[in-house]
This record gives sequence, structure tokens and C-alpha cells, in this order.
Amino acid sequence: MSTPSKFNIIGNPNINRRDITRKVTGAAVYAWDINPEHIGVDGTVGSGSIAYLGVVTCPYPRAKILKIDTSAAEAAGFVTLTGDQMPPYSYLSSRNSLALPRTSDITMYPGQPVVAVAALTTDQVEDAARLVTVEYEPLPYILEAEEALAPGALQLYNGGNSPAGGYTNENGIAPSTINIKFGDADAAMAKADVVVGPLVYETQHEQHYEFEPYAAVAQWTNGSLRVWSSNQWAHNEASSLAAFFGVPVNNVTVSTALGGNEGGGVLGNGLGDKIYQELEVVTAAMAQKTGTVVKGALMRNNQAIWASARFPMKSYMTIGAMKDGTMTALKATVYTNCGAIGGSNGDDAISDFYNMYNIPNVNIVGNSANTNRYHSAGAMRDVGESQGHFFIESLVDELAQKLNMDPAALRRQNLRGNDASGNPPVDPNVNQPYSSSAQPAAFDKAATAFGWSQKWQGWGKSSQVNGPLRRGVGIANLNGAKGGIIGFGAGQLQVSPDGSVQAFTGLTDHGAGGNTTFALEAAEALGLTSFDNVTMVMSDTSLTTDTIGTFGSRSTRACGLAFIAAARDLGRQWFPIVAPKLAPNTDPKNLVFGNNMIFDKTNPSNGISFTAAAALLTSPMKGSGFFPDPNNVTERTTGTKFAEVEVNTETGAVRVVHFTSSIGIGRVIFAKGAESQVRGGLFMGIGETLYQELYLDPTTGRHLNPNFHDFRIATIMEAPDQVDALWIEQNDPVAPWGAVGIGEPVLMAVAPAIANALSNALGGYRFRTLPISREDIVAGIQWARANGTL
Amino acid sequence: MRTEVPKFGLVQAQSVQDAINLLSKYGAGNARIISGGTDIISRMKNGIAAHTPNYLIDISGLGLNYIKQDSGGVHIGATTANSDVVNSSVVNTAAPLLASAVGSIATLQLRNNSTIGGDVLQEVWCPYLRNNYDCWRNGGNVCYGAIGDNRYYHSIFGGRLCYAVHAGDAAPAMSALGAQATIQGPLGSRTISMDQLFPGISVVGGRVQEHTVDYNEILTEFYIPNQPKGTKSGWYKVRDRGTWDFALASAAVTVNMSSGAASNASVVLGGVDVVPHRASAAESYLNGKSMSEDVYSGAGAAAVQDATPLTYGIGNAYRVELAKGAVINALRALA
Repeated sequence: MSTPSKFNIIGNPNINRRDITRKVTGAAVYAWDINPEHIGVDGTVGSGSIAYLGVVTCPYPRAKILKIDTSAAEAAGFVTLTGDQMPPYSYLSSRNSLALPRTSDITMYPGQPVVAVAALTTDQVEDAARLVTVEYEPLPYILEAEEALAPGALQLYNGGNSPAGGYTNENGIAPSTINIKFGDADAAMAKADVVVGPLVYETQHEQHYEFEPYAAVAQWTNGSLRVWSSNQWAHNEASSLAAFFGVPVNNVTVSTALGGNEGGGVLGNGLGDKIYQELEVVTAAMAQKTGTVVKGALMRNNQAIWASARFPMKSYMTIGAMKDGTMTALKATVYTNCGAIGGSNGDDAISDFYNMYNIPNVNIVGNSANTNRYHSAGAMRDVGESQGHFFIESLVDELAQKLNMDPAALRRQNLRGNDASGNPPVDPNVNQPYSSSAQPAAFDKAATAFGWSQKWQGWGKSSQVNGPLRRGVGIANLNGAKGGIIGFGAGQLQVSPDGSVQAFTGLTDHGAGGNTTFALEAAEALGLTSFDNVTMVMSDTSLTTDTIGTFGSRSTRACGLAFIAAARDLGRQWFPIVAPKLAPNTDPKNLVFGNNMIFDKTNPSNGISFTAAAALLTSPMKGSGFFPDPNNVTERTTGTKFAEVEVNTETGAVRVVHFTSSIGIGRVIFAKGAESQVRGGLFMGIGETLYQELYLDPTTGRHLNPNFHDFRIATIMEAPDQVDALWIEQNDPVAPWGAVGIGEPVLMAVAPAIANALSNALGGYRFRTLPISREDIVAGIQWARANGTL
Repeated sequence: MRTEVPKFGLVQAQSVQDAINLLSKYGAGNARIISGGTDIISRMKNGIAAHTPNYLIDISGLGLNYIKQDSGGVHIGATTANSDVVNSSVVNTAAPLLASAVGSIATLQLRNNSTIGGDVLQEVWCPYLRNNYDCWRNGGNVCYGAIGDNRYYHSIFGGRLCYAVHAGDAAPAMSALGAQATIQGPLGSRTISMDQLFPGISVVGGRVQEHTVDYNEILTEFYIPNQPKGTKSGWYKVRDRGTWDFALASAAVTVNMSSGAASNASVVLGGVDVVPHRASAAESYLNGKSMSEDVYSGAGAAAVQDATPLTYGIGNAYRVELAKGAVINALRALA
């Protein structure tokens, strides 16, 4: 360790990822890689073989299924499965009920799977799919949320396009509309010196497109189901499968890939879509029908068909302020396009609007609408907050422009942060304090590191001009709802007489280095300065207890709190065995873990090494940790981001030159992992800002770019010259060692920082729609030219 | 669903004549040639109906991978890997423009596998064709791109039937260099200019295409003539990202500067027309002028003065600006 730390191992800057070798050497077995030898079947055709699943998809955005004819495929020796043959369910009543529609059902989005097929090789699956014929009656459809909510709109559901009962999402029931109101926005707007808006901002439809596509292997044995899949929440998947097939949940075992230990549970990233299980439901149904092991996978062209999405949002935004820059009023009307089923009323994005700044008068309406654009609004890295940050931080930039104020100064002036004595701010909607905030420290640290005051030249002035190359700088604040706890947590720590430790968690490493973080947390909870003797047991429902999945930037917090509680439980059992070996009359209640010892906190020299204490045990000892869902606390992750971009005004090419991220992480656990998250979130953010969009043909409503060539993600060539990953360790009191999650906050506020920098580069032209395509950049260049700023 | 290449028969041709015979024997809809395979395999994988033959005739072993220099210029065999072209000292010395253009094709992995002939005769990357819409190139009689999403891959210089652009990088450079292509077929061999190779959209052997190579013909060689002393050249490709993408617009320029003023200017745009687009007005504008930033801009403007971007569907007028920018930057890169 380079600097002395009060911690045993967390924050150590030299710790490397534990899984790196097996991943870069290709030794890691992902769900699709699972072969007969991995799962104990002998590979002989029939009961010992693995059959492959394929699907026949409906090309239309909306159509009635008139007839499904699988006879040719069956006659050729393939197995087919239709919704009519699935266990009974109420179509469109839940995500899994959407898995396969039945004859006379109405398909709801382009690419919806209609029939599943199985064959013994992957290319035979294609042959089988081609032999299935489905007759459709194409029906009128709706692709945009506002259109769905307009008077007289085509009704997609009997209850309307914005069901009054609300939606079920991962947080429970969310109402289909929301109105956040405090103060008197209309009156304050009337009194404001300056009003900006209503301005219309829009964001795109995106899919996750992780490098690992979805895959699942399912096997039924005597009424018990075993599933190996690419999932972020094995326990929930087991419950869903049990409910769908009507079997007790203890008859269902689910693991992430091979699961079992950290080497087996590999996931090629899960950005939210892998908490759902349509593929697993259909794969398991096919396994039930064929009596063999079935492997299903969705390749690139079909990766959107059973997935949640980054939902398209549109927001009408108005802000009022006084001449001195004091923000006084905010109004907004938000439309969320929820796709065919389920979704969001935009509440996460809306929470960003009113939390970011001290604005006393707010009136925001969030509307949700079902459409035929895609499967479902749902989880995708930050669930609406990329959009929310883009909306509010673009609007505030436009206010600064109108006021002719430095956009950083305007933000700093109105920032919702700790007060002068360090007390955290209050969430103005629920009127309860944040557990912690990193503001304004994070802002100031970022501004200094980025060199904002040297770079900012004023409105209408590029920060740097070099022939056709114009540079601009931009800023966006981060105040996001992710990184908190979300629900309960559980985990266990088991120590063996030889001093080795097994750490059990129901979480999975979704690719960001979670298993390294979790092992560090286990070691820290037990006072160990090395995690070499700590083995993670995870990603497997038969070996772990549910602790809710790896999403919502919750796992660092959830795992740490559970392990702290488990260490306490372990001590309760273990310390009475240890105390008699220490100084006379040592009270076991005074013993603690630390510095590879168990020692008396009232007399630290009265101790015994962890290994010697373990040798006192005659058998492995397990401590169980649990913490309940905390109430009455607002958890927000805060920070500030700066971007410097360069625009080639002849070609419209954009390059992010320098990016500074400053986030209140609370406490750094896995230092290299945290920095890697900043870079990963930035890459995804660059892609979302400039390229990524899943688009449909405007005349047929069918997909045009379901592939990695035309669904453009940022490549290594788009890497900025300089990235600063700065942290504020504000020590959140309801977090383990003070650590909050940053897996999604690293993405939030990237888009508006870049968009605002582009605006600065191009004389103040505003980019109000994501992605900011080359066409938009050209429009900005032409505007700047026409306005004499270029 | 996993996407697999449908079953096909792979036939190793023994000679160019053998390949021609096989193509003639199997017929237009039934067989296509394969060498690098980076394009035909992806079309078959994506299930494009009219591009999924039962037989692939492999011409990769016919000795057509070579780069040879003679007194008049450089001969490049059609199945030469694109990365071999990029790395060839002969090409880099005699025709650096071609090395630059080919070096900007796709990614390194794709350049290693794909061939120079394949790049010149590649199928269009229209999203409608690639998603198996029944367009002109896929057995139908409509251009969805002309009336739909034409932001990336459709012409800003008009068209007829199919409006999808020629997306390759090698052909504009070869056109600017005055290259010739040799095509062998049942009726013998012909050597033609790039302008003759790419006359525009017509129906050739039942296929809607922008070039004249018939289904049973094989393009075997390119010949890049030596450039007159004093010739400078420049290449610039505008694409969305720093790698991988097709040109939103590109420009290949050669110009002779031996007298101090430009002569014999050749300006060819890529990615903006159904064929490599010779910008004659820019060539006329340049001839006789000394190079300066103003002249670069003037040539850029001249290159797109007759552009007619699509106005149906989403539209693609922004790419006129990009084509102009490509010309300016190619001229600035003259060396």
C-alpha cells in the first residue's frame, strides 16, 4: 500500500481483478459455451444431447396471428413450440406472458417471437424456422408516446394506452402518471426575470448490446428444473420460472453460467436486460417438451426482441430565474415511450430534475404510454437517468446562455449540496435528508482538475480554434437515484480451521469486477489485509440466499452491508472460543477483526492471529448477515463532469479530447475497478451521445440496424486523450465503510457534458435530441456559419 | 435466434476458365464466387434471398494474389488481400493514394481477410437490402432507401432504380489514378477503365448493379499506371467513427503540380453516389490554379455543385457538406 490506511484492504490501489486471466485467456465458460461435459450429460443423441432453440419472429410492429403452421417443420423431424402449447397464461399480463403469443393473439412489436423451434445443430435450427409458416393480418400501430396519448388514438389495450392500474417494474408498482409539485411554479415563473422554454428535448431507443448475447441452458429431471443462463439475478429467475411452470421454487436451480464459485459465474456484462427471463422461460418450456437439455441464445439480430430497452423520452422543459442567476421555477411535461408492455412514468428522470438544484417552485408531470415500438421499457444502466440528466443539464445550460452567465458559475450558485456545516441537503419532494452528498466538494475538485476557468471563453466563443478545428467545453452535474441500497441484503461468511474463507452472496459479477469487490469486502469485514484465502461462492441459487440482483448500482453496498453483518454473526459464535486463549478475563464482546488478527479493542496488544484463531475451530463456522430494506432515507449519488470536445467544421467529426469525472463514491473499495467503471461509463456515454440508436424503417416500422455495424457503439478510436477519474470519499453513513455504488452514476451526465461542450464549440447552437448525429453536427456548423460565429 | 450461414456447396475452381465455366453452368441465381468472403458470407448469413446461392466457387487459389511492377505501372491481382495492398512497398511508392484508401477500409481484421477485387465489386450496404427487403437488388422493384431511411447509404447525386451508394474505398482511388480492370468471361478478356467498369445502375445478367461484371465473369486484375512526374495525391474518408464504418463521404484526388499550377486534376468522390463519382467541375476548377486554402474550398464547392440530395424519406442533404469537406481535406493532404 502506498499510503497508510485505516482499512485493512479496501481502497488498496494495487489490487487487480481476480478474474482477468481466465477472461483474457478464454478459459471462462459463458452460458453459451456450456457443453455436455460441463453439466454431466454424456452427449449421446436423445436424452444426453443438447438441442438448440430458435425462434420465428413477426416482422410487423402489430399484427393479428391468423394461423400458425408447424407441420412441415415437424414432418422434417424438428420440434416446434407455440404459445398454444405453453402452460396457460394471460397474454400481455406480465413480461413472461409475452414470451410466445398464441393463435388469434395480437403481436405487439416488430421482431416479437411467435414460434420456437428446436433442432440438434444451430444451422438446423435455421432450417426448422424456415419451415414454419405464420399468417398475419398486419394491424395499424403506434410508435410514439405522445401519439399514443393523443385524443382519439388507436387503443392498444382495452384500458387505454396508459393503463390506470400502473406498471409493475423491478421496484414494485409504479403509477402510470406522476405529478411532482411543490411551491407555486406558475406564480414564480410569472415573476422570473428570465424564462427559458418550453424547450423540447428527446432521447432515442437503444438496446444494451452487451458483447455476450443472452443464452440459457435448461434441463428437466424428474420435475426439477436446472437452468444455466446469462443472468444478473439468479434467485429472481428461479422464482419466475417456478411460478410460470407451477413447481415449487426449491425444485428450480438457476446459476449464472456454470455458477458455483466466482470462476463459474461469468457474465459478459449485464446492463439491466439480464434481470428478465423470457428466453429462459421458452428454453425451459422447450426442454420440457423435448425431454432433452435445450440451449437457447439470442444473437445480435434478435438481441432486442425479448429485452427491455433504454426507453425513448421526450420532455417539454421550462425554467425561470432572476437576473442574478437564482433559479426560481421549473416546469416540465415528460413522455416516456414504454414499448409494448411494462415501463416507467419517468420518475427516475424526474427526480433528477428537482434534486439537482435548489429550485423552490416545481411542477412536473410524467406520462407513460404503451406503443408498438419495442418490447418494454425497463432496466438499462440507470433506467431513465441518462435521459433525465440530459434534459435538466441541457436546459440549465440554455438558461446560462440566456443570462449570459458562466454555466459553471450558474450551476455552482444553485447547486443542491451540503450546507456550510456539512449537513446533507434535503430531497425537496419527500422532504427528507440525503444520506450524504459530495457537493459542492465534487464540483470544485472537478472544476480545478479540468481547468474550467482557463478554458471557458464565454458564450459564442469556442474554447480553442485551430484552422477548421473548434474546441468547446461543457459541464453537467450528477445527482442520480442509483447507488443506493434498493431492498434487503443477505450474505454469509464461513471460516475453516485452516484459516480459509468462503464468502457467499446471491449477487453475480455482471462483468464490472464485482467478484473482486465482493472478495475485498469479505476480507475487510474479517480484518484481513489479503484476499488470497477468500473464495467467493456466488451466482447460484442452490448455494446462496437471495440478496436481490446485481443492478441499480446496488451490489457494492448490498454485499458490503451483508458481509459486515455476517462477520458480526461469525464473531458472536467464534469470539467466545477465542477469548479463553487470550489474556485472563478477556470479554468476547470486546473482540474485533483487524490487521489479520482477532483482538481486544480495549487493549489491542491482547490478540491472536486470524489463522491461529481459525485453528481453534474443529469444523467450518458460518456467520449469516442480513439487513432490512432501510426506510426514511434518500440516497442520491452526486458529482460533476466536464468535457472538452473538438469538432472538425469541415467534416462534422467530433472527438472528446478531455473528460473529467468527479463523483461522491463515499469510499473507494476496489480502486482499479472504480476507475475502470469511469472509463467504461464514459465510453458508453460517448456512444449514447453521438451514435447509438436502434431505428425502424419509417414506412414499415421494421428494424433496420439490429447489428453491431449499424448500431454504432464507441470504439477504442473514440477514446479521449485524457480522462480524470476523481473521487470524493464523503463516507456515507448508511453504507458499508461509507461506500456507495457508482456503476450507473459513471454514465449519468456524460451526454449533457458532451452536448454542452459541442454547443460551446459551435457558437451556442443547441443540440436537443440524442443521439447527436453527424447530420445534427452539420446543422450546428451551418447555423454557426450563418450566425457569424464560425 | 442464432444466425447461421445456410448450407452451400463449395467448389474449388481449378483455373479462372474453370470458374467461369462453373458459373455459367450453375446459372446466375445458383452460384457466386468467393475469395475473402467478408461480404458474400455476411449476405448469406443475413438470409438475403437473392444473394444466397447454392454454390460458392472459390477463386482464392487461382494465383490472383500478387502485386507486380512493370515499366508502365503496377499489376494487382484481384484476390490480393487488402492488407497486402496497404503494406506493399511497391504500392506505397507508385500509388500511395491507393495504399491510403485501402488502409481506411473497415478494420484491420477485415482488411486481412478481404480482397481488393472484393472491395471494388462489393455489394451495397443498404439497410433495406441487408435486412432482406424485396428491393431492386433482391428480386423486387422498389428502392426503399429512396423513400425511407437514406441518411447513411444512399446517393446525393440522384440515380435510377437502386439509389444505394457504392460504399467501397478502393474504387474511388483507382478511378482517380486512372486504373484499369481486366475482366475475363465466356467471351474472353477485356481491359476497361474504372469509368467503364462503373457506368451506373443497369440490369446486367438479370441483376440490378452499378458495374458491368456479369454473373459468369471474373474481375482478375487491376492495373495502376505510373503517374506522371510531379503528380501529387490525397485521400480523405469521412466516417462516423475512427474505424470500421463505411464512408459518409470520401475523396480521392490526383493532380500534377510540376509546373507549380495544377494540371490533370482528378477528383473522385466515394460513398455519395451509386458509383465512384467523378467531380468534373472540381477538376476543371483546379486545373491552372496554385494550391491555397481558398482553392481547396473552391474545389470542394465545385465538387458538389450538382448534388441532388434525396428529399423523400428522411433525407441526406447533410452529406453534401461532408463530401465538400472530404475534397478540401484530400487536397490539404496532397503529397
